[in-house]
Amino acid sequence: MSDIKNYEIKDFQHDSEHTQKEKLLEIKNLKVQFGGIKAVDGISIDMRPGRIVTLIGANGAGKSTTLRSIAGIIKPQEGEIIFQGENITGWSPDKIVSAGISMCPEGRKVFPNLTVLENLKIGAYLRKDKLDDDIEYVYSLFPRLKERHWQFAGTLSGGEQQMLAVGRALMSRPKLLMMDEPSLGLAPLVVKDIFEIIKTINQNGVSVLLVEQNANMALKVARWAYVLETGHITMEGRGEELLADESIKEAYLGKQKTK
Amino acid sequence: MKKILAILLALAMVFALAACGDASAEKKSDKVVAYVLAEKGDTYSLGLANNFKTAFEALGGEVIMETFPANTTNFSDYVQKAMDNSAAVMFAPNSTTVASNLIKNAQDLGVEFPLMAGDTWESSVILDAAKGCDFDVYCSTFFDENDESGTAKEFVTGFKAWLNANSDKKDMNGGNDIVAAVSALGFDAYNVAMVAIRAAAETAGSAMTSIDVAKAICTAKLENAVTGVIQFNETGDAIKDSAYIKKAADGAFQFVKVQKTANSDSPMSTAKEYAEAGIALDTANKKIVIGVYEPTSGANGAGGKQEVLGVEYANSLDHVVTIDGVDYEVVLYVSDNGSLEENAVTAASAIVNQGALVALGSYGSGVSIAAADTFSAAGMPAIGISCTNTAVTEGHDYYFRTCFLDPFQGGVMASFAWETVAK
Amino acid sequence: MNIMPYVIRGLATGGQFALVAIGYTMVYGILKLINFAHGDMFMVSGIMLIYMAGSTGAMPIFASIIIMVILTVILGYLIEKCAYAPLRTAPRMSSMISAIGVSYLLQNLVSYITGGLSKQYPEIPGLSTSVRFLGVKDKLSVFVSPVVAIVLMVVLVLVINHTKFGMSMRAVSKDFETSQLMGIKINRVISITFAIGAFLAAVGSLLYFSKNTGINHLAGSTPGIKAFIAAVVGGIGSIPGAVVGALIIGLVESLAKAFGLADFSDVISFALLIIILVFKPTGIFGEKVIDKV
Repeated sequence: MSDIKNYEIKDFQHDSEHTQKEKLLEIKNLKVQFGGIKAVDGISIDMRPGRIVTLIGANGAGKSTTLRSIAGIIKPQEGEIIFQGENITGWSPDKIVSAGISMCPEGRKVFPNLTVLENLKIGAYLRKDKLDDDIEYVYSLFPRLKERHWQFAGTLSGGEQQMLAVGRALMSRPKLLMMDEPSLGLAPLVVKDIFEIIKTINQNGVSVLLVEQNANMALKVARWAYVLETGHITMEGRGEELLADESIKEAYLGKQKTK
Repeated sequence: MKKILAILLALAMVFALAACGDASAEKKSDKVVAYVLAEKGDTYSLGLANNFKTAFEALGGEVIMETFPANTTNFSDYVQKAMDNSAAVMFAPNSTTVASNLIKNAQDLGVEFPLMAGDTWESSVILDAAKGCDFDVYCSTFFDENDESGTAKEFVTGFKAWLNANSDKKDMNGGNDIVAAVSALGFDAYNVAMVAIRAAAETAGSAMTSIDVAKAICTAKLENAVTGVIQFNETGDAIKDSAYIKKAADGAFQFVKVQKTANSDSPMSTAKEYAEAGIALDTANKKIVIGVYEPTSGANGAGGKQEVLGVEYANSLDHVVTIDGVDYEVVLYVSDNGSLEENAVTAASAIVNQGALVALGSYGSGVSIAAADTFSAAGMPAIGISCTNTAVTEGHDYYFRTCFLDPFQGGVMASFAWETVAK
Repeated sequence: MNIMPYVIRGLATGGQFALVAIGYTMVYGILKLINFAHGDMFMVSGIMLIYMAGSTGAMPIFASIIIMVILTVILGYLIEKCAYAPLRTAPRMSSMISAIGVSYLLQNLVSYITGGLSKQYPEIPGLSTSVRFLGVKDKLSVFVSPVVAIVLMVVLVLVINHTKFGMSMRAVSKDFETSQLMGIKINRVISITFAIGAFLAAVGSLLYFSKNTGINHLAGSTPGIKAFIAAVVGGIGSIPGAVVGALIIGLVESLAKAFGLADFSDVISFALLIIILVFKPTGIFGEKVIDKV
């Protein structure tokens, strides 16, 4: 274990000397405003391929805004988003999906009026090739979805909807999967399942950018973590490190309820 | 899916019921039936329809009267109703917009009885709609283009030449040189106004006001009027004893006959008393304004424009009045009431603000009635051109008119209908 | 009394309204916007044919019909692009007011061009011929209207439920942002929805005006309002609902006239609207809310 740990630290230190090409995602000085309110105020993030990276922070810290900017839903006022060496800032959402970024939005947002199978198919909206293998792959991750493939997604339980939302996001064969609060409103057992699946997906080669309020779970799975407070990055470090950090413990782990 | 089945079932039941209904044919009335169709909320339409009904029933016929809501475009069901009731004639005094659909619908259903209406139907819109109809389309009107009497013939020739010489005027007339009855009435109304203005100038000189004009109109007499001698009775209506019946055929109106009805009214003997101050003569600019209060847009825009044309033509022939040795130029001020009663006060006030001595118009009774109080308050006389509802002049001392009235027109059409179908 | 003619004409009117109602319901489904300009677009497509092939036009009728359909579709597309797309993120009331504005704009433009006069629709070969069917004599368009409406409804329902584009329409109708995350170009989907609505309005105008041939600038208002009622009665957002609602409205009004209640025909259809809204606010085919939080 300790070997790996050391290796990883070195590995990261090595990161900063890497050329851009070897970075999957690089965000430089991103600024987003909504009518004068600075939601994101100059954050920079680096992400290497094959990793799970998490953004943690309280409500309104700017986590979701960051993800939505990357997905092209929000146009940032300043800053650059570089994906696989290409500046994708200001691209339309469909071009960003084609480039290999997919997002699993906060609150699941499955299409309640579409069946489970249709929800999966619409995740692959821009693909022209056969989807059978991908659908089987999602079913293998979430056997429950296969059982219910003909049901309207609106009739699924919260956990099942979250599985569907993840499955749907995988259907575009992303290189980077962004997940916004996947644990929100789910029972602890289900949350555990979801995080297991996140790890599996990552092991299967998809990089994951995870936004979570459940810092405990997020830091456990993440290789690297950023702490956001009111639009700024206040701290960053390896998942385990932050998990052990006293200030983090106080702010995000132990006393969540008083916040 | 269940819902769709249920609805299909319901439809099937309706069809079954409809088929059963076929078997029980109704007994027919012995009386001659006239089907009358009027538009809800349309003063002209309802008034004329009721007058026709009263007159036709008095003659011994039976009347089935129905009304339809504004903006109706499909009249098939109403026509069907008339057919189901074995109507011998349909009387539908409605706007030309209604008429164009109604006539086509009647054609589709294979109607055989004639369709009749009042003066509104004398329009190119009706000619277009009635092309190729198997049934007759009649309307009553104030004037006939083919009238051979001296003044009428002179007017028709002159007016046609004037239209043909001014392409914009011809466009206003609907792109042709057909002389509408309302143009003739407009022509007469202008000339009555001129007679009155000259009479007022005679008595009051340059101190004359619109009140003097109003008084002069009361007792005015226009001998050489195109639509027959014009003189006003005690309520301010021109005394008429005849209407022209025309038939739409092959893209033109054919004169059918003059339908006469006795009229026992006598001319106003002395002028009415007016309390208002009135509007003074514009001695500074040597100008006399005559307001033309007409719809040049909206549902009655076409008819309104034709009235304006009649007035403009008259003005082009006679536009100088000499008062106390000074020549005054008579100019027209056209104010559009948009065929809408809610615009009436604004449009009428605009004429008052122009300092007009007299107003002419409007096409459509509703807008005329709505403007009457504005004219009265300003002490300005108004001469209605083709507003045929009784309420235009009743109780409105400043309102006069040159055309016949709905009770008269309704009665005329009822007798014509009776003569045509009952004999 | 013979009721058959009233039944047939009621269904015909219903069928014609249905094609307009589908346009309302589709746009509502996707934008949650009552496109008040829809009835006027219907009127404009009638006026266009008059100017191409009517008394003032000299083009061959079939070519004119094709051009008319294309122009109406373009008009529907342009209305969306100019009047609604810029207001996508504005409060819904803004788009609603914009819709009313477009409606008046179209009416006044046409009134300016026609001078407010009613114009005669040209004879459409086939549709305008008089035929006798089930003992009722009327134009062919009367008999085919409900059939055309139902066929187009079935085609549309199949497209929406069984094609990729239909799937994207259903997705966009629920959630713009998530649809974008799927890579769906929502503006394109919305444009196509408007285009389909305009196409149906054009077809509807062909059937409706070949029967009710006098058109002025207000000719779209009655079909517009009746189709809107139909869409609400049937369940706004539901395409079969729009068709069924329209057939019911057409039939009810026609039968009201048959039974001597002509004066109340409008009262009856509005009363029907109120009854439906009171007892089943989502309309006959209204969607159940199946979202789970």
